[in-house]
Parts: sequence; structure tokens; C-alpha cells
Amino acid sequence: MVMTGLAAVAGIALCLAEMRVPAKQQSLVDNLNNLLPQTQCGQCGYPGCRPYAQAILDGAAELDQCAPGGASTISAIANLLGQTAKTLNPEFGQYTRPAVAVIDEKECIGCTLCISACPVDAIIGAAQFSHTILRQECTGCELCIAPCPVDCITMVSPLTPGAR
Amino acid sequence: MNHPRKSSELPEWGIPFPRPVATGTGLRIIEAGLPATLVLPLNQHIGAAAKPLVTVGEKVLRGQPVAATATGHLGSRIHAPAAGIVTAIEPVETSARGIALAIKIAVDDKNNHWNGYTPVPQPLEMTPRSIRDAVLEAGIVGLGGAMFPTGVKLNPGSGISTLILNGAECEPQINCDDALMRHQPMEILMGAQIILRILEADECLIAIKQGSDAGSKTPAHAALAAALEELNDDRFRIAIVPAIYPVGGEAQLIELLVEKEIPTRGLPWDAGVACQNVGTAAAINRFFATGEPLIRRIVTVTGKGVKNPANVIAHIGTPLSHVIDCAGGYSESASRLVLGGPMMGIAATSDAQPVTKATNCVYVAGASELSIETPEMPCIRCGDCAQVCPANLSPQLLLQAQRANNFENLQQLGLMDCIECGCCDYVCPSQIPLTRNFHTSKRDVWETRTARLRARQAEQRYSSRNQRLRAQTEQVDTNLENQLSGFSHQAKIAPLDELKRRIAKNQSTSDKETKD
Repeated sequence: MVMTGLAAVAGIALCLAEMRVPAKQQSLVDNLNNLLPQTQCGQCGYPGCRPYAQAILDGAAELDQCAPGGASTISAIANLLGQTAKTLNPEFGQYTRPAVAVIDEKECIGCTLCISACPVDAIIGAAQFSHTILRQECTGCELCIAPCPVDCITMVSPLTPGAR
Repeated sequence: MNHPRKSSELPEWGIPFPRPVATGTGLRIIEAGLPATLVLPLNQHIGAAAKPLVTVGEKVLRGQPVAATATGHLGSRIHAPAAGIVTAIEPVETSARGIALAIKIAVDDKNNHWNGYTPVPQPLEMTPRSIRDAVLEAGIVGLGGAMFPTGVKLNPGSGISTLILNGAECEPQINCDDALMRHQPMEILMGAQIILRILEADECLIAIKQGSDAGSKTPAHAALAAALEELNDDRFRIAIVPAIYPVGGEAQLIELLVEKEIPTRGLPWDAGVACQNVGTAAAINRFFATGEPLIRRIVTVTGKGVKNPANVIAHIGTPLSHVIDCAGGYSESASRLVLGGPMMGIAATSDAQPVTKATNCVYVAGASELSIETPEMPCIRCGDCAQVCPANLSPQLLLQAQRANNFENLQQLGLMDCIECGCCDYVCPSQIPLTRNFHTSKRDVWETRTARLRARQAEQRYSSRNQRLRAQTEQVDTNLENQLSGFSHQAKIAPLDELKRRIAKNQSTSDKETKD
């Protein structure tokens, strides 16, 4: 009788705890997201690193889609999930050394298109005024390059003098 | 209070090297004089590069500040070592610190002094704070080679009981500190008194290396003892340390003298100790006594690649070729130019590079001094490396982890505590370049750490941008709805349906973007 009572109390307590404690799935997304480079470039086909992490867990995406992360990121994800590491799927781009974007301020016409394209608010400027990129914040996602109507944005190595 | 160990107690690490008598820099100190051009790199200290205060074409005077600490950063001032004209501010190659911006000064022959700094006859009567500010102003950095801004290092708050004056330079071949102690012992002691005043410490241990003959005093010991007698300050004590490399390392010296180990990422003041190089103390004294900021230092020029090895008093910014000429120039066997000693020095690519505040030694190796390039062989796990390691690491385990690219394990094994002294390389029977491997690994670990940090920041910016965008669309939609609510029911029903569709659509896309 006592034992049954104890078991029931423990069972209820466990159920409550289960409800209180955030689902384990959530922390797995966090762990996975922590392994991604946070460039938010969207090359994997998802609008940002966390959505991609979620997609991997949901089984919707493969773990070989992160181009800026390269082989080390893929093997880290494989490690975490207990899967076999793969090589980067070339459909999603090539691994390149980290780079930062630079605006040629003499060419910039102040159209603000790049500002709205930047996923991390690293570009400052206003309409009709030259824009500039905060190199400390630039993740090198290259999303600003396509919208620029005058092609004044280039990617440079972060080791270039003056960069970072 | 802990008492210094007796010199007979040997540490359980390191390599006994004989004192650098073989190359015979002897008892000479020579003045290098001024070269035609001085090159002053702006990163001669730990921290951010200094900001130039002068422009090209400007005349400068001897001792005038030419570059200031970058605002809000750790750093140090740089002064003109001689009067002249600034001819260029351009990038130059420096061995230890990569490519850096440098101020070039064409020296003029009159050499007028800048009178912004005046001698202070009684520095000991100043407050600790104002002494510290003056030390910062004088551009003094740790002259043992660490280049840490001294004014910052002398600011540990309270609780320092012991000052250790480090005169135990331990690299075979280097003996610029030894020369300084022999020739200017009083300057060192007076500088130490000023440091004691800043730290409000009770005692000062002067660490000097034991001579080859344990019974007799080395010349440096004798000179310091004589100066101490004259000074008559009972806070000072001379501590003889064994001639074992790397006994002059800060953590190693403290461990030996006060028997306290500095924890990982800890600092000497965690053990109630401050450690300063003897050259730094002398530089502090020189600034107060003569008003001369840090514009000169003693450099050991040695090795079989120079004709007459010597200790040279050189101005900061002097090209290496000039100081080598002072030591008689290159000998025929000269085959490699090294900045620093044979154990930890860094190869210099050109003798046009300048002497910096950190240059304690210019070592020109002769052909016979270079190790024969032997192929690296497999680790046989003899454990010799672990025995000599002064940081109590196990280099062979580190090597395994490094080859497996296991950063976690590398850090657990204490990679970041490696002082890169090179003892493990020296004893390794398989000629594995352990230190070089650890050096690259340390850089990789740092790069990974900064990349992680930057990734966190990027993620934060990304999610706050998404929140902001969502709030904006919501605002626009509510505004629209408010405007429409003024119309009659029939007129507003169609646009409102459209609006609701849009809101729903926006909601789902932005939800997808910022899931959680």
C-alpha cells in the first residue's frame, strides 16, 4: 500500500517535472545551432542558421548543406547527432576562407538595397547617402552583393589592413 | 612569509645550460650611436597599436612622444629616440609581430632634446598614482621581452608583499641584463625603490643566476652587493637561482622563489607577488632621474655569426645591421639571423628590421650552431619531454591530441599554459618539433574561440533584427486597420480580408525565420 502510494506520488512528480522542464528537443536545437557559423547566409536553403538546425532535427535537411562551415562544421554536427560525416554537398556552394564585404564608398549611390538585405544589420547609411559596412559585424554571407545595382560591394579577406 | 629556496635545491624541470661565457660578450658594453634612419613600429607592446601624433615632414626632438596609446585600449606611448624629420609613416615587416605601421625618422646631427619631461629629484615623495602615470607616460614596457605596459602591470591594487626583480635571464647566450647589473646596479636598485613605492610592497628579491663556480660571486652579484651596501635599504635581498633554463620565466621564477604556483590564466599578483625585469626598473629610474623616456636599451649581439660579440646600447628603431656592425659585423660563417635567444628566438627575415623595445638579443647563428636537419621520427614515449617541461605539461599527450585535431582535449591537457620554451624539442630523441606544433595549435584554439564569440554576436544581431522587422510589419498593419475602421462596413470588408491574409502570411514567414 505504502509502496504503491510512493510510486504514484513519484509518478505524478515526474509527470509534472516533464511538463515543467523544456523539451529536450529544444536544447538539441541550441546545441546544433551553436555548431553552425551563424553567417545567416541562407545558402543551405533555410532563412538562417537556426531554421537550418531545426530542419536537420526534423529530418527535412541533410547535414552536408552548410558551405561557410565547411568540413569541420559537418563533422561536428555528425558527432553531435551520432551520424557519419559527409562531404559538403556542392549543390549548396563551396567552402571558402572567411571574408568580409566592403563597399566602395565612391561608387555607392545610396540606394539602401544592401541595408535591407543584410541579415545582421551590419550596413549603415541612409537613402542618397553613401553606405558603409561595420566590418566587426559582417559575417561574410554575401547577401548584399546581388542586390547592389552598381556592383560596388566586394569581398575581402578579414586580414586585409583596416579590415576588422 | 615564504623564504627563498637555497640555491642547492634544483627545480624538477628545465635544462642546465652553462652561463654564456663561450661566446664571450665579455665585460664590454658599447654605445651603438645613431644610425641615419630610425624605424619605430607602432606595435612594440602588448595591446593595440599606438596612434601616430606626428605627420610626415614634421620635425621631432629627442624624447618627444611620436605616438600615443590608442584611446580606451591597452598600449603604450612611443617616443622619438633622436631629433630629426619624420620621412614616412608606412607598414614595415617586424619578425615577432607581423607587418605593422611604423614611423620613420631621418636623424639630424644636432640632436636637440625635447623639454616636455623634466627630471624629478625626489620620485619617492610622489603618490603611487602619479608615479604610475609617469611610468605610463614614459612608454616603459616589460623589457624582458614580454612588452607588457609597465604602468598597467604596476596597478594590481593592494596585497602585494614581494617584488621580484628578474635578473635571471636564462636563455643561453643572452646576457644584456647581466651587463646592466654589472654596469648600472644603482640605477636598478633606485628603480626598484620607485616600484616598491607604487606597490607598497615590503620586500624585494633580486633574482640572479648562479655562476659556474658555486662558491664565488658572479660579477653581477658583486656589483649589486656593493650597490646594496651603499644604498643601505634592508628591504632588498639577493636570491641566487640555479643556472637552469627557463628559470627566468616569470611563473617559473616565482614558483622557485616563493614556492607558489601561478594558476592557469592567473597572474603573479594572485600569489601576492609582482615581477619586473631589472632593465625595466633601470628604465623607470632613468625617466625620473634624467627625464629620458624609454628610447634606448641594451641588446646582446652574439653568436658565431658575428665577429666580436658584445652588449650594445642601441636606440629603439636602430636597424639590426647597425648593431651587428657595432659587434664587428658578420663573420664568414654567419648563416641565420635570430631575434631573441637560440631557444625561443624568432628568425628575422632581414637585418633592415629595427631594434624594438622587446629586442633583448640579436643572435647570428654560425653554420656550426644550426642543428642538422634530421627527419622527424615517431614518438617513442620516452617521457623525457614531460620531465623537462617547466609548466608541468605532458608534451607527448599534447602531440597526440594535436595530431587528432582534438581541441577540447588539447585545452584540457593545458595547451594554453605552454610557455613555448622549447625544452621538449631540445630533449626529444625523435627530433619532433613539438613547440612549433603547439604554437600553431594555440593559434588555432584562439581562432576557434574568437570565431565562436563572433558567431554568438551575429546570431544575436540576426534575431534582434528579425524581432524589429516583425514589430514593424505589425505596426503598419494595425495602422491600416485603424484607418479602415472609419469606413462603412461594406466598404471596409474586402480590404480587411485582404489585410488579414497579409498579416497571416507575414506572421507565418517571420515565424519561420525566427522560430523561437
